[in-house]
Amino acid sequence: MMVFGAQSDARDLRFSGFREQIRLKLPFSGHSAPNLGRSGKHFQLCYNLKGVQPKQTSSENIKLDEWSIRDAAIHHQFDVEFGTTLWIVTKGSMDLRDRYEELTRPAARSDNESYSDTAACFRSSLATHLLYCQWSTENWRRYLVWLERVVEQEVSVTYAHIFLIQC
Amino acid sequence: MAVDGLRGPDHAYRQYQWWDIQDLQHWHDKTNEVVMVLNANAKVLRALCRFYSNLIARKDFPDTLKTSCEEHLAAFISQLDEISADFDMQLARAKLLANIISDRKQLVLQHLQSQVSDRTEQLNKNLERETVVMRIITILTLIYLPATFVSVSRCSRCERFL
Repeated sequence: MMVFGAQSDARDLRFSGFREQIRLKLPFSGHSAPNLGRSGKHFQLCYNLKGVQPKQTSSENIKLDEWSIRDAAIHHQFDVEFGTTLWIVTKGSMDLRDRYEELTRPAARSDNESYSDTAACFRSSLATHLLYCQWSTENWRRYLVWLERVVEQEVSVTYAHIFLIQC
Repeated sequence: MAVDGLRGPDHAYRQYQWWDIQDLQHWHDKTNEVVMVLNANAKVLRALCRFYSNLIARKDFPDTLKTSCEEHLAAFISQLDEISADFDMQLARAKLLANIISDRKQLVLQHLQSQVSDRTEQLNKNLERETVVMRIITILTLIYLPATFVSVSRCSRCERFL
């Protein structure tokens, strides 16, 4: 959990993974709970994605801007019989949750709002995966452009003192 | 651009300091981190893509779900492909930046070394000039020393006469 909190020096960024489990065979009787909408035939997957966000911008010098690489861990479980969906998303701030709310709000796209049957549930779970993937792509281009500019400035003559050799 | 600007006498050029290399190293580390993270993201996306294509291909996956969602799943997979292609592009860019930074670091290091040798050369020149002056002084002293000696000895003789 410490990975998602505020850190001055992120060390656990190097961890990344994808786990899956598929159980589509008829389960033992103890595993199904139809009253809760669980047939026992489900698949679950768990992965983490990383996005980058600007933390602080400085008007004087772009070198003083700060960016932070944020981790999001996503667990998803889907029951293929009843369409029951479970999402557990761990992230440092509420932005992903807000987006998810926007996606699932009845005013959003018509095919996402219906959780009427299993197929619709499956479709909306795909849309949610896409939402998370798109979040992870968002700011990388801006971050890279910033890095390129900073490096350019680092080696440029503008900010250095000029030395004229006299021989 | 200063790293590949003209250097040498009669040119204004940037004087590098040792911390320049440390700064560049810092940005190099940051870029390498980006490379690693983008790589990890692309891998996760590919795994997700593979997971869903394997899932739909399974025999025990419910047929109703399979037939009604096939199109959606195809669209989903193609979108995931697009996103991972985007990641690959960014990755290539980050790798290029990392290479550029490491090349520049080398160049700055070379410049630093040449600055040190320039300084040594300057010192040597000054030393040479000083040596010439010292030699002139020595020669002058050598010329005047006997004369001084003679005049002093003459004077002392004069004093005796007085």
